[in-house]
Amino acid sequence: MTPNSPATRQMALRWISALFARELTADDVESYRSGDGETLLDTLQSELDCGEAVEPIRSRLNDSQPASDTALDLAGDFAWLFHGVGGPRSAPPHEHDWSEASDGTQMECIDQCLSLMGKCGLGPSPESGETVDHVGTQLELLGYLEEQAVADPNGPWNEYRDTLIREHLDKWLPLFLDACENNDRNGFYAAVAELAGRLLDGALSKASVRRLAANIGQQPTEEES
Amino acid sequence: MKDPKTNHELTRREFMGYTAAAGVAASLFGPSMLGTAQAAAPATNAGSCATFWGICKLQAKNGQVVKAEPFAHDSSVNEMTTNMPGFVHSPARIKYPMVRKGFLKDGYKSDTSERGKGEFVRVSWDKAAELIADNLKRVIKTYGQDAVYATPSGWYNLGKVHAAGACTSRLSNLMGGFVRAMGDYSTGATQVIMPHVLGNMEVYSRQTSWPVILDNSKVVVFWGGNPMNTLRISWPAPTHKGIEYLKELKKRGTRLIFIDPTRSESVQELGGEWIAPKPNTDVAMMLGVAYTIQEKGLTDQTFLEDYTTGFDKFLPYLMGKSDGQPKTPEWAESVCGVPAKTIRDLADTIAKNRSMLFSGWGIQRADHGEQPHWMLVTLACMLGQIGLPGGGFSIGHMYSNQGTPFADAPSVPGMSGGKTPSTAPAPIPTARNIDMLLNPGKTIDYNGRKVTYPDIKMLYNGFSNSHTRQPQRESAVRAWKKPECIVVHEMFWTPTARMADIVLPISTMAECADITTSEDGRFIIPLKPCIEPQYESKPTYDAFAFVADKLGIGDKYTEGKTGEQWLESFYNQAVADGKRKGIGMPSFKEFWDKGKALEFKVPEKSQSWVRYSDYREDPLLEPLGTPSGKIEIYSKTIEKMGYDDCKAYPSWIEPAEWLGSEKAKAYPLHMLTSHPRHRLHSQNNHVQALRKLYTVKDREPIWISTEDAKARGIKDGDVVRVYNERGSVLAGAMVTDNIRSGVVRLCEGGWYDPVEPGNPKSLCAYGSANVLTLDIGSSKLAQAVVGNTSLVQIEKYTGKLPAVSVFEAPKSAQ
Repeated sequence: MTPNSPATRQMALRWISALFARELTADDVESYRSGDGETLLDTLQSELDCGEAVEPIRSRLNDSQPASDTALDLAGDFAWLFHGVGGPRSAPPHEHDWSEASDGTQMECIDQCLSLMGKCGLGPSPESGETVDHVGTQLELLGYLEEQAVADPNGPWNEYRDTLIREHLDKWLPLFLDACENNDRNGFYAAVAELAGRLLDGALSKASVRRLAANIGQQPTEEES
Repeated sequence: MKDPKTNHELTRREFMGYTAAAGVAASLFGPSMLGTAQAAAPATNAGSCATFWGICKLQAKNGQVVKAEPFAHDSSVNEMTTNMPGFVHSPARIKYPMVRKGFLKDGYKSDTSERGKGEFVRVSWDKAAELIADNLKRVIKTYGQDAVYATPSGWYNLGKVHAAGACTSRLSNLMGGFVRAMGDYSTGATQVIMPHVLGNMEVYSRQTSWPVILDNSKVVVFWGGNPMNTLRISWPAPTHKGIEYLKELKKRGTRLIFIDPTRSESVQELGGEWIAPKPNTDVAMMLGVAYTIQEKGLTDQTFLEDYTTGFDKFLPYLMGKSDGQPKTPEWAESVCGVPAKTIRDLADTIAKNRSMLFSGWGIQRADHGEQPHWMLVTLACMLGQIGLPGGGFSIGHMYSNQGTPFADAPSVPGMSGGKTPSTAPAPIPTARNIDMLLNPGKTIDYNGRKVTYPDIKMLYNGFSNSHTRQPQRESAVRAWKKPECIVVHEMFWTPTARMADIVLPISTMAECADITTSEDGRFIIPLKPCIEPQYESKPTYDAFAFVADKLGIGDKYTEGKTGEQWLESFYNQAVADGKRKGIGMPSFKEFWDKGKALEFKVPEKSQSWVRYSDYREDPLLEPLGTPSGKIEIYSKTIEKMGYDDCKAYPSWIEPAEWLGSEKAKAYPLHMLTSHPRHRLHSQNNHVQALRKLYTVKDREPIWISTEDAKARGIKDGDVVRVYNERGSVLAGAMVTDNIRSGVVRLCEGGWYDPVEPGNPKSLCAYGSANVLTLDIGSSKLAQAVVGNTSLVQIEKYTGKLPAVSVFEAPKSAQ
């Protein structure tokens, strides 16, 4: 398998960030079954060096239900994981949710993300409604920086990318992805997390990768007394 | 793989790259989360906020609350106030309108067993409000007005505009009226009995000013109650003056006597003497005290003759002539466990000194809860000090900073609930709501009349964490599966929100423009939001107005005003009231722009105000609101009701469960469900920084005596299973000598966290006391909640420990 091309990887990051940012509609599901979405899945499956990780995603999207029912189920899974419905069986999508000391109140990571985005000439989309430490924002920013780095090799983009990974993603993304894999009840978002983990395997530090590996298989719903 | 060239409009290559992907397949990728750059400097903002636990200035940075600075005039700032950022920005926050998945698909015919299992999907406000409106209209048309129950709202957002109770009533009344609740969970028994005895509810009435007590009381008895905990909160915004006065009481060396099965935080912090009766036996102990006073000739006969009626009918009971059992201290000891000598000494002390008998509400949150405060008043009548400075009784001082001298200040009106239509359904006693859901058509007695339960098809919960507040969780879970539709307005994923079909996200106080006053009227406080409503939440009034609009009554609901316009109109009405009283106030614009509290003077006459002094001075010109115009130790009104569980005079009646009952053989520990120190009932339980202060291995702490723990092999810090036939919870053992043997304390308000969601008998992983409590009415008179009447057993928990799942997501492994 050849390494991912930058364009494939950037597209995949953008796609994954979108999947973590909002629920799929019935039209989306239809598209993944027999429309542009299917082409997208085909593309990722064939072009990514971890393309086989796309298959479980495709499989879940192509269950035997009408697209509207599949979308409804996935929306329920999304709410369970990312809207807090699942409690500790969820996967909080913000960096600040994973800071033990913060209790959701330490906004340092938000400041830092805003600062970094500002250097790139970016800020939060007013439509997103999320703080900039949201997984969707950080993954999309990563894809953007990687694209800029290719287009402008002498620019500061790789430095910014390294900062994003070192100061943010490295600290919490493995745990977030692990929570998705452990807590998703029907497998779709677990599969997306698996793909994201595979895609970022080389980008995240070894410490993060080890932590990710160590966390896999944990059952957060139970602990030894 | 299909050939994209032949099957699809887009090609693989067109997807490639970040930019291309976003541009070409926008429908699949959705809008970007990246936008244009903001200003370099972080945006900061400040606002003023008031909660039921404190007033503060909130600092925000980049749209997030980062710091709470307490109000300068708050004399006892607590950690609930300083942790407001954690309250607002909690992982438990409800971000978007949510609908239960099955309900969205199948509507009111959905499988309601799905409730509580976390099956929600996000919808738009339009969709959610349409679902609410459609179901309200359908239910009313199909079943009638009395098929909708509006659960009562009390505590929640503090403010005049976004008052959840008024906003709910406003909607209800415009829709013809829903079934509503009578009474409340705090004072349900006393507020029904006291009008028969004193002519008013007493619990929420103005009380003798603290300076009078400081200057005149030689002895202050705290019969039940834990004011150093309960005075941390109040329903007007607190400046915590009550705590300040309590500390002053200690400083002055006033003799303080606490009668409580626990050596509560108040006993520990204020010092004083501790007498520990068995729970629910206060009436027996009071009777022992009363017997001693009568026996020793210390009864104030003149007071009884001039200001009371019916002592002559009570006396035979006290002396045992009517039932053969004199209520001697020895008899009292056999019931309450307090030595007869202690009872005699107490009688002697309070009769020979200027004594103020304070009492808490916990002792009336029990089976036959009407009796303790009736007996307390009777005791105070025998002492004859009612209406004298520093003497008598008070059922108010331990709550909401009652007794703090009032300022001469303009009155600030609030949102009106509107007029209840004459055709509106009859209300039901609030604590019987689960009985109502489970038994439609059943008729119960209530305060001299009959109440027949309607058949409820829809619940409209405009704010209350019912699934933590209501006793006997197993019944509540079963009951909440019956209605066809349940609507909940909430800020957080409470156990109640998790049981809903439609959940509307509500903004916290930090996000709402409003106005409020301090507990003593000394301050009028602008509540200026420092952040926007988070995610898609709406302030309470706006949320109800949105629903009203979908119902086609939006104009009537709002009267054409936004929340901000109501706020200004309330302020301007206060200005007009101020003019009438000769008190000047700045214009609304000046008030709002400055963002500072207005302060008003406390007059001297307010400092020296004594409750019932006017009645004492002239009982004929200032009669009480009772049938006789006097304090009724014997009530002919109650006599006519003929209830077998509430006689016409105060009496000791064995509760359904207590340490002297047969059931104590199987469940030998009496569980008290006191008010928690670091919460307002269930509010703030979701704040992790606060939970760190009190939880034991992530569980609600349970006080257990050293003796009881030792007998069960339980050590401090162990996780224990607390159980009875109604259910079981896990809790964290706090082994202590600060509680009477045979008694445990598991504070109310812990969020229900079923290990098996939806299973009524599920173990609660966190320690919600109301899993174990008993859901019966206190008596036919008040039908009040009996949260302090339950027996339990405890064992060390040795199984695999389920994670606490109700609050938020797992944290990092740091």
